[in-house]
Parts: sequence; C-alpha cells; structure tokens
Amino acid sequence: MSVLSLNSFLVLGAILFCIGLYGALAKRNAISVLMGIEIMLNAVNITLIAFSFFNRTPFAVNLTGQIFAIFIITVAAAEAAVALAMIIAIYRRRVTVDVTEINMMKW
Amino acid sequence: MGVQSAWLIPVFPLAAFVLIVFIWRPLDLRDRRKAGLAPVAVPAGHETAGAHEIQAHGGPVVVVTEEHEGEGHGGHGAHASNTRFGWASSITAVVAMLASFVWALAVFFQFLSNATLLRNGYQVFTWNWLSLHINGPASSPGSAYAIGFHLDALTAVMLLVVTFVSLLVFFYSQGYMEGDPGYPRFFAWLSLFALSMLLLVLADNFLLLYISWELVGLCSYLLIGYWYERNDPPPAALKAFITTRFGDFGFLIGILVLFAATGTFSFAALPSAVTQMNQNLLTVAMILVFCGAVGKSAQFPLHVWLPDAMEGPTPVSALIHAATMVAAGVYLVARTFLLFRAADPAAFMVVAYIGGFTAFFAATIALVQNDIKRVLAYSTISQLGYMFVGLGVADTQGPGIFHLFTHAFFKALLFLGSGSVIHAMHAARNPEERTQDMRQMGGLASRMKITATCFLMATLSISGFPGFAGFFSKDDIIGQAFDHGQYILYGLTLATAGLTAFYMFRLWFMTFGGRGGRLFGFWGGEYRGVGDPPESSWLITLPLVLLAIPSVFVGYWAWNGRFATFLQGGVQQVFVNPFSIGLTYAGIGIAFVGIGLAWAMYGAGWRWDLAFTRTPVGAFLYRILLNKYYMDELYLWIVRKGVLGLAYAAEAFDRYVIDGLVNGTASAIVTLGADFRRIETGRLQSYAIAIFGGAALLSAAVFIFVQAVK
Repeated sequence: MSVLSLNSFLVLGAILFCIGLYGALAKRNAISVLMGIEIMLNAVNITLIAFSFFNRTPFAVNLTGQIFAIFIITVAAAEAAVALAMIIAIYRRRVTVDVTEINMMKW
Repeated sequence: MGVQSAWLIPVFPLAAFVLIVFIWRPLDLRDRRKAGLAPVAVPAGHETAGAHEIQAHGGPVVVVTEEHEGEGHGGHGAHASNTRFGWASSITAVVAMLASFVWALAVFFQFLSNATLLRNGYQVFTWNWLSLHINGPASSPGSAYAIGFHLDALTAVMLLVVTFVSLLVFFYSQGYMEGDPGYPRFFAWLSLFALSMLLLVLADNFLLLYISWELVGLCSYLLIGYWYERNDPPPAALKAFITTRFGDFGFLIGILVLFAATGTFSFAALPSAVTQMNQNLLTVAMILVFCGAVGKSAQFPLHVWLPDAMEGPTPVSALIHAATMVAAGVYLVARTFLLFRAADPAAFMVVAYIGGFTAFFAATIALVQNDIKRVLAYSTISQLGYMFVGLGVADTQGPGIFHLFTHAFFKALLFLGSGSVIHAMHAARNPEERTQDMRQMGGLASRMKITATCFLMATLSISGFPGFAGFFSKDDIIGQAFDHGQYILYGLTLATAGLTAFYMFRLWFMTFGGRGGRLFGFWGGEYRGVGDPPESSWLITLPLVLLAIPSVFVGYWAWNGRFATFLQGGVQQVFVNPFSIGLTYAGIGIAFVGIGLAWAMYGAGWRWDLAFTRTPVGAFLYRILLNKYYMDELYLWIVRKGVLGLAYAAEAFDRYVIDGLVNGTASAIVTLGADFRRIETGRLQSYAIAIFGGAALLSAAVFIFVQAVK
C-alpha cells in the first residue's frame, strides 16, 4: 500500500484543470463553460491545499494555501452567482446561451 | 579744411541724398500732381521690347535680356520740363558734389605737397563700431570691430577721380535727364552712389569696405532699373545685382577666412598679420577676395551683366559702369596688394590671367557690336582687364591704378559723348522712336562739333595714340607684362591694343565720320539716320570739354615715374622713357594698324568686313562674336539644365523619398491594422485559447530554458 504523495495530488489537480479547461474552451453552452471554469478553480484549490499540506515542518504548520483555497471558494461562489445572473440576462435578451453567438465585442 | 576733416567728403552727398529724398522729391511729386503730369513716364515701345520670358516646365521664369533697340532718354524730349523742385534737387546734388570735389582736391594737394603725410597716410578717425568681450578682455583679438577712414596716396587719387567724374556727371545729368518724371529720384540715387563710392575708397578695413561695396551694388541696381516702367531695364538691373552677388559671395568668404586666421579686418594690420598665416590658405583667401573684384569689375566669367547694364541712363553708365564702381574691383586688388604679395605668386597669376583673357575676349566682342553703348561697355570690360594685368604682373600698384586713373576720364568722356549723340538722335527723330544703333548714325562730326572733338580726344586716348593719356597707362601695362616674362599676357594685351584701336575707330567712323567726310572720311560724312541731329546744350557739352582736358594730358603725370612714386608714398620709382624702348613702337604700330583698318573699312568705305563675313569661316566667326560667344545662352542653359534639373531632382527626392517614408509608414500601419482586426472575433473562447495557449507556450519556453541552463 502506497502512501499518498504530493505528486498524486498534483496529477489529480492537473487532470481536473485540463478537464475544466477543455470544458471552458470547447463547450458551446454558457452553463457548461461556467462549470468548466468552476472545475479549473477547484483543480487549483486541490493543488494549493496539497502544497500547503506537504509544506510543513515537525514544529510548524503552514496554512497559507488552505486560506487561499477558502478565499477562492468564496470568490468562486460570488462568481457563479454573477455569471449565472448574466447568463439569465443574456438568455432573456437573445434567447440563447450559445457562446459562439455572443460575439458582439468584435471589430 | 583738409585731411583732418576729410570725413566731410562723403557727408556732402549724404546730405544731398537726405534733402532730395525727404524734401524735394515729395514737393516735386506734389507739383507734378497739381500740374497734371504723369508721376512716371508712359512706357513707350513696349511691344518691341526684347526681354523674353522663357518658362521652363511651369517652373521659375528665367529672363534673358537681348539686344535692344535704343535707350532713348529723359522720357519725352522737349515737351516735358522739370518742376522748380526738380531743379532744386539737381542743384542740391551738384552743389554737394562740388563741395566734395573741392575738399578732395584740397586733400589731394596736401598729399602732393606734404612728404610726411604722403609717406605715413592719415587716419581720419577710428570708431569702435562693436565691442564684444565674449572670449576675453577688450584687447583680445576679434573682440572689437573698429571702423574708420584712412587716407593715403591711393585713396587720395581715388577720391579725386570719384568726385571729379561724379561732379561732371551730375552736372551733365541736369541736361540729359531734363523733363524726366523721376528727376529728383535720379539725383537722390546718384548722390547715394557718390556717398557709397566715397565710403568705399575711404574705408580702412574690410568691414566698411564690404558694406559700401554692397551699397554701390545697390545703387547700380537702382540706377540700371531707373526706368522701371520699361521692359528691359528691370531684368537688366536684376541680372547685374545677381551676377555680382556670385562674386561677392566669394569675397565675403575670403574676408572671413582672413578674419578667422588673423582676427582683424584692418588694412593696416593685415599685411603683418598674414605673415603668420598658412600661405596656401592665404592664397585661397586672396583668390576668393579677387572673386569679388571679378564680379564687380565684370571680368570673365561674370562679365555678362555689364553690357546689359547699359539699359540704365547714359550718365549712370558713364559714372558707375565705366569710371568708378566697376573700377572698385581694381581698387580692391590695389588696396590688398600687400596681402596678394604675401600670398603665393599663383594669386597674382590668377589676377593677371583673368584680366588678360578678359581684355582680349571682350575686345573681340566689341568688334562687331552695333549699339554704340554696347561697344563702350565691352571696351570697359576689356580695359578693366588691362588694369588687372597691370596689378597682377607688376611689382607695384602703379601701372594698374594709373590705367584706372586715365581710363576713368576718357571712358566717362566716351560714355557722356555717346549720351550726347543719343540725345541728339532722339531730338532729331520722332520722340516715339529711339536709337543708339550706329548704323543709323554717321557724319555727326560736322553737326556736333564740340561733342565730336571731345569724343575724338577720348578715342585717341583709349586707342593708345602716342602722347595721349591712355597711351602712357596702357603701354606701361603691356611693357610690364613683357618685362616680367609673361609673354602670353604680353601677346594678349598687345593684340587687344590693336583690337581696341580698331573697334574704337570703327565706332568713330560709324558715328562721327564716314564716306564723303573731310580728311578722308575722318570728319563728317554721310548721315544714315533721319532728321537733323543738333548739337547738345551747354549743360551737356561743358562736362565733355572738362573731361577732354584730363583725357589728353593726365598721362604726363607718369613722366619721370611721378605717379608711381606718389602712389608708393614718395619712394622714388624707376622710370623708363617709353619712347626709348623698341617695344613701345610695336604697341604704337599695332594701334596704327587697327586705326588704319578701321579707316579702310568704315572711313574709306572699302567694306572688307562684309567680304570677310561672306566667307564660311568669316560668317561663323561673325555670328559667334555677334552673339557674345553665346555666354548668355550658356548661362541660361546651365540654369535650365543644371539648376532647374537639380531643383527637379530635389523635388522628386522630397516627394518620393521623404514623403514616401512618411506616407508609407502610415499606410503600412493602416494595412496591417486592416488585416489584424480579423483576429478580433468577439468570441471569448478564442481569446481564452490565445491566453492559455500563450501561457502554455511561455511555460514550455521557460521550462526548456531552465533545463538548458541546468
């Protein structure tokens, strides 16, 4: 039985990040894009906490990463609320949540 | 009275100038307006004018003045008359000039009688015009620019010449210009000229000399263009001004080179200062200074303005373009003689060869001209060439300045005499017609006895007839060229002497003599014009008589080397009796050959010249000479092809290279922007791809870099 090492957490974080990135870049549904972004944030959280957990000495605990992760969770909650509100607003106006059609910000 | 107050000499004409410009001229204009007279002469013969404007590719207009049909004068003959203020202005000018002349005469006699004065000269005053203490104390070189008047033998001679000729020309102009609408203006400018010319000869430094040098140029411009309402004079005036400017540019650089090397403008300090100077630099500087003389004295290749300057009234031609201003170049070389001597002999050789070549070159052109004033104009150029030969080859200023001295009298006389003839031709004809074409004259000697007698004296003098003034001065120069081993110059000047005798007597026979005259055609003969030319009034003939006397006799001043001794501040100069050397007889002989040929062709009427011009070679030569070696055309061509070509090239460079760079940068950015804006799709995901792709690429690069560093 092997002990969970830092690498395992980092690989999990990377995998999650890539899944989230794929979702954010490739999905056409705005909700799916939002979910992709949430996954990326959580991948980062895992990475931060893993670094934080393994970065400790026998006499001291370094909690910076954990605190960072809590902040990110808070911000991600706010972001989800704002993003969902925007998606609803756009849907009301344009009757679509397809991000490829929301392209007014071009030349 | 005398040398101490010699500064008064130029003050008299200055006072006359101020008085005429600010009082007589406005009053004259007011009177003319009241009397209903035209403020300017009505232009006559505009259609026949010879100024051609040649437009090159819509570029600047290039003006060439061509042979013109006569000057005419004084506007409108016997009908017009002066207002009382017109007379007041001429009398003011004449009286002022008389005062200057008397003063100059007094100065001259003081120099003659006082050996100490003659040896040391006299500094009339010195005034610190500008004192700059930028680089050190006031005594440091280059920090003070003093100007002043200095009198020495050369200045005394020049003062005498300038005031005497000016006085007579002023007097003559009263009659010649009578009735001209611009009468006060004419005398104002003449006075301004006299002032500037006197300043020029009195100046004790390059600074003041250059200022007055430009002032006489300005007066020359104003007086050539005096009849500005006619077609030909304004371009001629412009040509004179611009052509001399070419020379003056060199002159200015020469002065500045000398100043940069020595820190002084003063003629007194320069001769010793230049001995410290690099001799090659000094030579270059002196040749540059000579450029100014070339322009002012109408030497080849800047001679083209002087014949066209004959568009001015004849008294102006006599005073400015024969006796005084054009001799300023000669005076300049004489004034800086010691500097030339300190320089490499090449500097003097440049002077002598330009002079010798010009003398011959101008004399050949004079052979075929038919306009009486143009013959005299080319003759002036040729005689000035003699003076430069004299200065260039001899060890002293003596021969050159002596020729300047005698030439001033007889050439002024020739011009004033031709003016008298033109005046008479004008009076004889319909006032609308004007001529100074010698082909329409002839036999005038029996009609205008006083004018003819005086003119003959001057003609004999310039032709080098033994015993007349011109003989002594010219023969001396020719002899100097031989004595100093300059055989090319000797040949040129000797040949020119023959040509001079020929064209002057050609002029004499065509104007005053001719077939059927007395004394084998020397006196009177058939008149080819219309009407009945009368003798001119005493206002015109009196100056002729007064000029004829020195034209005959001043040559004897050179006897026993008196003139040369005087000019050298009393140091006795060697004198060789010209009649005791065989060479002199060569000169006399060639002059007689010239006179004889002229008599045969134009006096006796055996027209060998016509026969000669019918041969192919003769016709070719004749056409070249008649067109003045096509110098005007050559300059026009240079301007058109060279200067305008350069201008077009510069314009193209500006338009295509400079503007191309500026506009090209702008349009390249516009094009790039038009292309790059396609990237802005507005799709957030593609931006995100760019961000993450870029981050991935960057991190990959950093990773590789870190690995490589390890």
